[in-house]
Amino acid sequence: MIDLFVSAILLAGLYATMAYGLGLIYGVLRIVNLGHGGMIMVGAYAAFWLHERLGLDPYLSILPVAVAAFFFGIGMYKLLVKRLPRGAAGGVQSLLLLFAVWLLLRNAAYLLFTGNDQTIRTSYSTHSFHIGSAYLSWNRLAVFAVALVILAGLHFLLTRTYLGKAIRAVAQNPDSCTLVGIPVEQVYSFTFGLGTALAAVAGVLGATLFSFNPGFGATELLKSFVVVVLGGLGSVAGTAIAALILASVEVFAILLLPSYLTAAVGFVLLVLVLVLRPGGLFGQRVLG
Amino acid sequence: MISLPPWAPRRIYLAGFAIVVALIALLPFIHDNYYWHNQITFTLLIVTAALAWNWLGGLLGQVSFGHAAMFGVGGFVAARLQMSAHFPMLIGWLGGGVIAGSYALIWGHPTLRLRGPYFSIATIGVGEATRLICTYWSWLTGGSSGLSIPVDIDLKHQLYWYALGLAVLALMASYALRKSPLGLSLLAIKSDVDAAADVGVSSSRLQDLVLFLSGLTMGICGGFYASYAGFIEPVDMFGFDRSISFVLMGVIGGIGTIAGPVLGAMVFVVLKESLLAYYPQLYLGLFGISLILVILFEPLGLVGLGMRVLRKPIGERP
Amino acid sequence: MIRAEGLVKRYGGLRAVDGVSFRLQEGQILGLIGPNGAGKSTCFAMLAGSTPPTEGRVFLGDRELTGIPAFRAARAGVVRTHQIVRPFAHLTLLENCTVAAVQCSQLDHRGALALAREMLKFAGLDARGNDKPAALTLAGRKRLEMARALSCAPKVLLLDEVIAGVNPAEAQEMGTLILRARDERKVSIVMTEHVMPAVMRLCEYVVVLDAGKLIAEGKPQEVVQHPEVIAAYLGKARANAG
Repeated sequence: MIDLFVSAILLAGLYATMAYGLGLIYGVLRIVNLGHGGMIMVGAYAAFWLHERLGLDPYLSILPVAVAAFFFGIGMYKLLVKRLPRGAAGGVQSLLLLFAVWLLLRNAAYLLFTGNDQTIRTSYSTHSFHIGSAYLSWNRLAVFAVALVILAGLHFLLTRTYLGKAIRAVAQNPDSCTLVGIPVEQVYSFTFGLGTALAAVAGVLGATLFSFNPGFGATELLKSFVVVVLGGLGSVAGTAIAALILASVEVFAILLLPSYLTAAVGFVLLVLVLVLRPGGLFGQRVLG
Repeated sequence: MISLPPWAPRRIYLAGFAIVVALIALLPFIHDNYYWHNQITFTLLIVTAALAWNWLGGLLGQVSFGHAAMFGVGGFVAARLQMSAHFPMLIGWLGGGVIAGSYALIWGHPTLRLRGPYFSIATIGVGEATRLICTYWSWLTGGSSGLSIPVDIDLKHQLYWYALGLAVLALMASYALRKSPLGLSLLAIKSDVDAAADVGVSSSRLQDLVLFLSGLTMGICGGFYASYAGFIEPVDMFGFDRSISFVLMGVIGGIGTIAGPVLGAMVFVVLKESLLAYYPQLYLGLFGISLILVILFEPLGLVGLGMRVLRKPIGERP
Repeated sequence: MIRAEGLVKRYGGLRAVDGVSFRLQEGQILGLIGPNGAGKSTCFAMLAGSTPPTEGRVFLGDRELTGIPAFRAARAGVVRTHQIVRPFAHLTLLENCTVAAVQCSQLDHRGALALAREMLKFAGLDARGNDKPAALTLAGRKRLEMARALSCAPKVLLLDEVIAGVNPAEAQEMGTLILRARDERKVSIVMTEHVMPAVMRLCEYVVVLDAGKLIAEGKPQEVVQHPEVIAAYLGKARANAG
């Protein structure tokens, strides 16, 4: 039982990191980033490639992948997303546009890596240690630790830095921001880049735990939505709690259902929450 | 002559359409080629499915990324009805369709209250959840191994004309949904659902109607596909890739138009078929780029391009 | 014609409308005025069925309309326009009106089309029937809102700030259109408006709201002299009426 709890907590760290990028982009730009799943997949493959080619340990590739993804995200924003009308009018269009990016990313992955499942095996992949009667794999612990650091960093960024405050301001009211001299467009680019980077990093982390293929991403996308819908936008605490709920539901569902079906629990949860939550998807929470 | 409703197409267009249909129907007698016979059958089926998707995605403006759910439900129900309950093929299809349409109503009715992108996200969830749950229900789907539906050769040959019939019905329904007063209400809902209510449009009822019709047709297509392919399994039937294909056909062809899904479906089938041998996944990339181009530059997709080329006045709509 | 009794609308702890009652006589133009946030739009929404009252009742003649959904209210004969115009962007002007006519009136398709054409002509938009709303100016779109609402063949028309936001010449024309609607189309009208000269010119009777409560009612000339009304507007009423 204990190991299930611990599993849930460790998994929650990954889910929180995964979901935060999605929530950030929606909270600030009001855009649903359907390319999110694709970026997670790209992160996984980037870590894989760096490991295969350069022997780089996946945890060390977090930083370079994040930086590359950040600039890729900014590029996507400036090249594509910027051209769409903001707000409700652009809703489905931005959805489809980012979905198209996802298709391209998938295709690239197929061409570069084939459609086979891949994993990253390091010297310590199979190692674990004991706490009481529970076995914990080093990987899961490391992923959790990294996730904690990232989330703490995000919280710090959003609450203590000028940039963070600018981001929160733009999320609340972009028009007033221009009046006050906040460069809204730059905040948009930065946020999109940051959200993309977070997705890629979640991909790297996920790659150390699971096997993956180019079709990877739809499930992760949906799980990210569940977390964002449950946890509200941008609030690190909210995201963390929601991630914990999702991870717990999944982990404990294994007691009742075959493993592949546990994902379905998350999806049903998503649809239920969407339908039962009046007034649309995301609440009006402020970033912080 | 038969009297037609005021919004029906002009007689000359109807005549032209009838001629085209007759030509397609007679083609196998003129030049019988096994490969093309099947290709056209399959294409007509996909055209029907794309049209059905567009009723929800284009006319109502609610883009569904989970329509494979109904395709799969229809297919497996039809297969089971034929295999286990020994129903005749057409009844099987109809049964599959009705169940699929009802399923669409069940998840769609509450979900359609969500606007725009949020509905679309929910449909991804519905599609994937349906796939997983139905795979688990091996009594329905045979688990991940799927089901075989032996169809005798003669019947399979005749599927060609069944497909043609389905496609014609779907086209007629598309036209009716688009041009009739009902169609105006649907577009009003698409434009502004609250303002539509303010002028007397009962959005809930109309949305349910479109949901059911779309699901029904999708389900029938699934049943047809089961008979056509002779073997179906959950990943192919319910998969996200299949759902995506309908979105691509509809949007790239020309969302909301009548000809759009037809063009989109034809392009899709042809492209996938030509790439199958060497670069099977390349269709993703090609369609991805096309989708980007459509969204950024030509919202009405191929139909819009066609209109520009023919330089139709902006007032007229396809 | 229309009777509102003790309308209350609560949002959480806030009473946006607190016990408002008024009557609209047949063939009358009633003004619903008050400073921003007074609850005018909320009252409107309750009359039109866009939102149900927390308390209170709405009657159309003898028929109770309280809390019925907007589309039923429209079909019953109570139709509203919107403060921020909401045309059906995917439809032409003619189709905008035809939809309304088809849904609300008992006419068949041909009859509905004829009514729609007539209303477009009434609003002076018949030349542009095949254009999309995007091609119109704001004033044109406000006329479209009117034409579309009138295509429902309503008994009561609820006009939500149709005059605000257009230049004085257009405002004058809108005002004339409103009067003609009452006279030619035989509708009774409730209008909310900020533009005081229009209120003075068009309304026979005025109801003043402030902070959700009804503070005054009567003929417009009398009501604007009312000290409480002046206080509520902080002198704006006088400045604009003068």
